[in-house]
Amino acid sequence: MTRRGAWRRLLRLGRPDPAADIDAEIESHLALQIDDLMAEGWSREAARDEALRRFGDRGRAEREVLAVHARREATMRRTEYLRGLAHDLRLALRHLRRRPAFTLIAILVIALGIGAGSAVFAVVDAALLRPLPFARADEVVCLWDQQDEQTGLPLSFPEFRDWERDGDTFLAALAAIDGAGVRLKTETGWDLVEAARLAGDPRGVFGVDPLIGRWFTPEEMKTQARVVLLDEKMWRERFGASSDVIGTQLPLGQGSFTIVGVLPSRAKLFRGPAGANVSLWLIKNEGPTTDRGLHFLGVVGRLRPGVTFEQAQAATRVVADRLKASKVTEHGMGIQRARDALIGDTRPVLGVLAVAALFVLLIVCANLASLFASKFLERGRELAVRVALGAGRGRLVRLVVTESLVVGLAGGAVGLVLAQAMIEVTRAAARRAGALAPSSSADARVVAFTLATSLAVGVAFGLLAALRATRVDPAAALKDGERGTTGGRGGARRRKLLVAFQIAVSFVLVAGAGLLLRSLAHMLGEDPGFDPHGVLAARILLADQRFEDDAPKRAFLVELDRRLAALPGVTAASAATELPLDGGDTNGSFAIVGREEPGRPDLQSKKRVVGPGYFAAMGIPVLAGRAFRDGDRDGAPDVVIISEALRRAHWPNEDPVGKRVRFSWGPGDVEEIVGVVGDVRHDGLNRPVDGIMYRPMAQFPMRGLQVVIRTKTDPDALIAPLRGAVAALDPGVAMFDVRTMDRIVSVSTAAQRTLLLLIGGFAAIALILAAMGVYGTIALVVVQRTREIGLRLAVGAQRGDILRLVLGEAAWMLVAGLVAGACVALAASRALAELLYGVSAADPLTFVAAGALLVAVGLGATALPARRAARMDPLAALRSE
Amino acid sequence: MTRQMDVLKGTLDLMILKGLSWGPTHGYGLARWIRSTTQGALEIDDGALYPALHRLEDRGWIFSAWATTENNRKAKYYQLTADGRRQLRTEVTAWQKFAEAMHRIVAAATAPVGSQS
Repeated sequence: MTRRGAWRRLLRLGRPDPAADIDAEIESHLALQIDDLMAEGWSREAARDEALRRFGDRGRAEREVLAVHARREATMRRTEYLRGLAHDLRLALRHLRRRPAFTLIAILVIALGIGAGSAVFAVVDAALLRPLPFARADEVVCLWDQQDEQTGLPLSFPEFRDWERDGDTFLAALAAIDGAGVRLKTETGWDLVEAARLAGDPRGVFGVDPLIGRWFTPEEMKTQARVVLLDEKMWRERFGASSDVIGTQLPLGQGSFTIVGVLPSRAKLFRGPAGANVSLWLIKNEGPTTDRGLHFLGVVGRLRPGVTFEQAQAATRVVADRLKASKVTEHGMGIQRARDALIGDTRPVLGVLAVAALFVLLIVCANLASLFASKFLERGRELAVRVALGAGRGRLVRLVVTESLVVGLAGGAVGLVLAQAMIEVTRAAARRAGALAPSSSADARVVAFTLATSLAVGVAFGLLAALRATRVDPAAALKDGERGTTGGRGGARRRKLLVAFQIAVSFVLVAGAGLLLRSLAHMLGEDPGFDPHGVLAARILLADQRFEDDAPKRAFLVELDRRLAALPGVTAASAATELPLDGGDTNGSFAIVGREEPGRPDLQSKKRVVGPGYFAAMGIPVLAGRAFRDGDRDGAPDVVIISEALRRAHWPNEDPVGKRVRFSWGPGDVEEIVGVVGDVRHDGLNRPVDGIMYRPMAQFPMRGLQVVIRTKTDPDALIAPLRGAVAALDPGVAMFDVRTMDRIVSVSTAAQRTLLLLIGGFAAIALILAAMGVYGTIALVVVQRTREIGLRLAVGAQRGDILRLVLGEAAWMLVAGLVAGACVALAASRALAELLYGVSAADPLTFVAAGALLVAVGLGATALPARRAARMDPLAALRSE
Repeated sequence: MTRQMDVLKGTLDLMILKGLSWGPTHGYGLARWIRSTTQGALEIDDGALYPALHRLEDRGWIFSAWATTENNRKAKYYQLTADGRRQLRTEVTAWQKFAEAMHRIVAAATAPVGSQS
């Protein structure tokens, strides 16, 4: 035997405890030393002392040796853990590959849940969580003219000047913005582009620096210089992002403007939801802006550093009261955080979407937990063998969770792709609803959210499944043969609980979708007050300097109405300011002659300027008096037509025709009411009807307009003739945004439809998952009770008895789920109430229908395994193991 | 003592590897060999050897097993592995280079440039 061989054999002995080992080693060292010293003649006592002296600090030596061992142990444990993990991973992948259908279903289920969750997160993140992209964004506020508690109007120019002057106690800077279309000369003709016009101190408010070039100087602002800032998008698309544009001339309809800089796209947020298409920033031409009744300016301010929003609110009230006291104005002023102004009324929508997405994720977890638990129950024999071989329960849990994590991550990856598609939908919806829209693709934050959700979902359903599936009694399982653990009665109960949970959550989503559906149906069933079918609308802009004065404008508009009405197939045509349901609004104040009292606030109404053919073209009925006619023009007496809502409010018991009103806006102080027309829903089919004052276009010509024509045939066929007629009349007039009135009505309900689509989609996912859950559970029950069923059949039970037996298994899951779901839905739908129109949040019909749908789905999912049980061959069943 | 142990930590590894190059021995044997070879000049505590031995074993340069001495006492014997032999050669070369360089410095006859006399 070689020496080396002996060493090897010795090494193969078990590792001793390191502490005992080093202790023995040191004792042996001392013994050897003492032997040697005594051989030299030392006494035993003296030799021991000398040996200890020579050895030095024994405690320290031991500690350092043990530290060496501890380090090695840690390294080994880490290696072993990683090796175990790699092993589990290989095992998980092998199992998943062996069951491709199961794996695919599991991944798809997760992908649906996570896709929904991530898409909603992208929207909520953009609107609520992410900081606004300006320097010190929480200092930015919006101001609203506040006549009463609810409604906020844009400001009039004099009001803006009031606050510029008096608000500086708490405002560091104040700016006014309004929008306009301007014409931009190109090689081929004119393009129409959106411009935002600025007054005040926009630079101080925005906290946004130009990408290149500079801001408008205060001097330029004061003299309203012909300078322009480009928007980033326009700069990139039209000028190839060249820095040479600075200092060059931009040919606009009003003349040539000098480009002084380029603002990044985020500056457009200051223009609010309407700012998405702004291409140019100009300095606002003050023009005739002394009218306090003309509310059209968006006003944004920046609070002084250190001023809190609450302090600003208080200060706003103080200044508003002072202005009222000094009789400058009768209106109050509201102040709003920039974020609140930007997300508009979408906060409840976002909340509902977030909760719905969370519900879908919960269902996904519950569903996969039962799916996985039953898969592992089938593998009971394999697990039992592992336990018998010494695997602890922790080891088994790790095995299951590794598999669930793999599925979770794969599902998350697919879910990210789904989310991408859903983000497109929600983005469009958010845009239309005026919210801060998410960027078009999933960014790092969304990816991080998806990853985190995938891991959380993977761990959650893996643990749920593992805790059930790993309760293994190896002896029983191995004896039991093929099926191994059957989960037992307790397991079945827990499984049914999971299914009941899925049914409950599905109920909430289905009921929510049902409420939204009923609400949308109510909206669509509302009479808009006009007849949109067969009507074509387009915007036109009289931007040319030729139209500065009223006379050429009036001449053009009168001739336009005449020519359009004369087009073949057209029954009526008119120019008009804002069209109903099309966004945009103008309000004005008026007083009724004979009822004026000092100190009495002006009355408010929407104001529209329309041509003589407007009511006919829109199909708005004339209820009393007359419509406008060609004779209502300059020189003739000033006239006005009111809507039914104004008559109800101010002349409830008398005929308003012949009464007179006084305007604080526009020329012509006192005007006579010549007619009453039907109400239209201007702000939305689900919004209350507001009173409208109509004035004749020929007495009050405008430059930015729409035209509407009513056709006898297909309105699309008239698009080309309409363009041709406008171009023939004046090639310098821009026409754009041609669409049917039907389209305008449809776009006005797009936000509601998208919300319904999303919640409906979530509800559908939930229903499918719940059905899968019911089916899986009942199928398992049938398998578990095969022998019992066979026995019953053998002793004479009828097929119907077996059917009832299996249905009984499903019944309590359904009933418990429905009852719990109805309770939660009743509580949760209150959050939906704000978004509903014409239907109560506890609408009994919706709840009954949702319950019926779930019962139908539940019974449908039960029927398949139940029938299989009833048709079982009793002999085969009895023989089955 | 601590100070000395820190200073000698690196050279202690070299001493152990060299001490084991004649064949397996126990910790006490190494301590006695170092003391007699250096004639006690280094004053290393015997205890300082053990953390070094265990560290070298962890690195795979030496391995150990309990065996019986000629006097019938149990002791833990250490032996170089193939890696240990390689390491010894590397360390010896490095040490010789270092010692030669130090020797040249200490024995230098010329002053550094710029030194003020």
